[in-house]
Amino acid sequence: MADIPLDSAQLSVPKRRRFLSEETTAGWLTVLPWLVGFAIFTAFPFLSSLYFSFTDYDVLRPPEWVGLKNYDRLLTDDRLFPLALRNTFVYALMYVPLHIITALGVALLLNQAARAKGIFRTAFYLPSVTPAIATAYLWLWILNPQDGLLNRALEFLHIPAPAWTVDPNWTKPTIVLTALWGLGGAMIMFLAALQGVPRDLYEAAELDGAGRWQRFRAVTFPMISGVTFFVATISTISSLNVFTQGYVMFDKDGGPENSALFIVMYLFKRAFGSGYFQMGYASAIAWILFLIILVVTVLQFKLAKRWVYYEDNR
Amino acid sequence: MRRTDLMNRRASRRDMLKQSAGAAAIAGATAGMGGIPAVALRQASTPPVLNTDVSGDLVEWGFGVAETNPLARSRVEAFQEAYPNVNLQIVESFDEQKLLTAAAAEQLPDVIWLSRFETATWAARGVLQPLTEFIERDNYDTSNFYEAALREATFEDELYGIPGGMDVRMLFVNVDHLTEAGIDPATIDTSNWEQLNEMGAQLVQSEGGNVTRWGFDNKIQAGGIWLWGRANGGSFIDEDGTEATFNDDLVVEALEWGVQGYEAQGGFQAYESLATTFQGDEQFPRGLVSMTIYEQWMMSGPLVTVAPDMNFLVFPVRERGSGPEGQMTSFTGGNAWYITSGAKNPDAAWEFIKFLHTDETWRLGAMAVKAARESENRPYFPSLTGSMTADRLQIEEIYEPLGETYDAAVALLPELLEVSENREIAKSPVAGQLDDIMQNEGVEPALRGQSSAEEALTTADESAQNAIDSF
Repeated sequence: MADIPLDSAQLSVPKRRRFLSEETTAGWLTVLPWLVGFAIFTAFPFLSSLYFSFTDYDVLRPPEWVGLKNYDRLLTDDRLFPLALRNTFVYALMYVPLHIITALGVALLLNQAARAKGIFRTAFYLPSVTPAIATAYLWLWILNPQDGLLNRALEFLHIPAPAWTVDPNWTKPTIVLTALWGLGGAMIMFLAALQGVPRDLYEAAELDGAGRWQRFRAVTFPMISGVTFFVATISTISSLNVFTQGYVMFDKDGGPENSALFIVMYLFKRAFGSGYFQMGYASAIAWILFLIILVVTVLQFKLAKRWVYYEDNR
Repeated sequence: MRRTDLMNRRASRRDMLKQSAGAAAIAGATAGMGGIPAVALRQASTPPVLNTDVSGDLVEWGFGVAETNPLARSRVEAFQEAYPNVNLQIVESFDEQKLLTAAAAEQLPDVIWLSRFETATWAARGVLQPLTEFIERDNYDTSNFYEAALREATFEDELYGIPGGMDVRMLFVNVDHLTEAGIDPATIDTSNWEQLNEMGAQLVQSEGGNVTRWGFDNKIQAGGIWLWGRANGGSFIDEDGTEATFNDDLVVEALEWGVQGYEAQGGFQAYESLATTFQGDEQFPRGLVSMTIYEQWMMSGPLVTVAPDMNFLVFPVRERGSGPEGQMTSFTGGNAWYITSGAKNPDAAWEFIKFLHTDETWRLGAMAVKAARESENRPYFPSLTGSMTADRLQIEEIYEPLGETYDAAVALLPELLEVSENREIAKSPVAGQLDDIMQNEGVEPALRGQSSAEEALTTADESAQNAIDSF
């Protein structure tokens, strides 16, 4: 009887050892570098910025706790923040649908192309791997109001040429046009999705007398809706974070009448530009933007249930 | 031929070094330097005491010493020869983010080459150290520097930087354009601002709805407000830098005039459209602008490279209403040398600064520039150094007459620098913000017709006051 606990104790040791099995240890060790990296380079700055958003902080002097002052000033007493917010939303509303339509359109054409598919695919993908700064400069030349290629062509055709980069009404379309050029990533995803649509569905639809548009609406679109949803979500997030094109094309500033001042540009200016060094204020901008993106993305997921079709849910 | 030139240059540099490597040597050097006009000698400053025994690593940020910059390169090479025990490392460029993070990480360089406009910004945040102790220790003579340059390098009554370069603004006029338009350049009176705007309207040219040549660019959209506001007798900030006065009546008046100037020529958007075709700073030499406010380096840079034979004239801006011979004015900026608060080798940093500013070192640099220009078949043009004697030395000793226009402009420079002012707002630790606010909330909305000059400047004034108060 007295031996029993001893035996069970002896038995329990290998059991615990089994719990921390080699497999588990190896698993933890494998993910450890990522976890450490995530903790140091993502989680820590992420949480720090939350803390800084409640402080007055210029990096060189210790942060001073100010509670909700930064948020209050941003939402009630800042002339540029609401403008930057509006500019960003207008840009996203123009960019996201156009991005999906053009990328899908090009993918549909490429999917049907009989010859030189590879060359076209490369040609359309190339701008996506070209640095954004280079493409921004290139488009600055193309869209130059007086000497630009596009306006010269429009003048030749007697079409009124807009002052793309200097007219406040045209600065956002200018950036949309520049950004649309980088449709390569989405195009490749659409192309892959299109190639994955089973042929038999088209054949069945054709037998039922479906025309080209009906086949697209009833077969193609539902079958690629998963990818469309993914592209829509990602491009919404990236368009709300738009920075490079505006920063380069409008010389670090917001362009005429601040019409191309986007949230991230404003954040950058407050943090690093023109001797502002207002890290607390900039952090508050970052957190408001984060919350906006979060809400928009959750909304997109909720709406997705109505139109996104996953084959394995059939 | 080229080799001989190089050898000659090298030999002359050695001679200079021998003369500048110590205080006693320098005293002799000034006397032994043949060919210096008597006037320059009379105005020479007290030569600084140099201590070539300093040693160790010396880290510098911001000084471009590429071959294309002989003025900087030759002086740095001379320093390295004169101070063999100092291991100088130069990082040619940096921006405010880099300086900010270096300060936060306590990894500051020893010495930095920085815009004087940022003196208060960094001094107030503890990134720079005052030079008072070094100046007193070595009896360093600062009387030789232009007042505006020293004022801009000062924060709370202490000098933080030793000026090492200056720029100054004046009016450049394309004589051929004026003659074509039937305007006699001799009638230009820069104190009569209405006349300037009228001339602008006469000179502007359009084609097919696009402006193809701008008449008069007052540069109010690019910092010109600091010039015209002061020239109108206005002020932007109070004496101790605590109260913004952006909507001073005289500043409002200056901005109203600036806006009218644009409107009379087709509006700011038309100007911006044309400005998208400007290449670098070449709009004036390329004939895209007939009259413009510009810095003096227009002459040594774009003009001599793009249109060396251009028929142009230079006029100083005069205080409004002061008459054709009235009080000249301008605003000036430029860089200075600073020792950081985290300098590990401040003594070597101070020696570096002192050495770069002796008249002999400047002469060496100017000779290197002249040799480089000759090899490029371009004329030599003096660089503005911030030091009165070094400027005069270049003008009187090294500069060779280039013709009436250039000679008159060169002769004007020292005179103009003496009456020039630095931007008043530089005294504030939030100077950068104030500049941005003036531009984006004051000048631009008025230029674009979003609000009147008065409304825009009142809004800008509120924001400026907020920025000052929240530091």
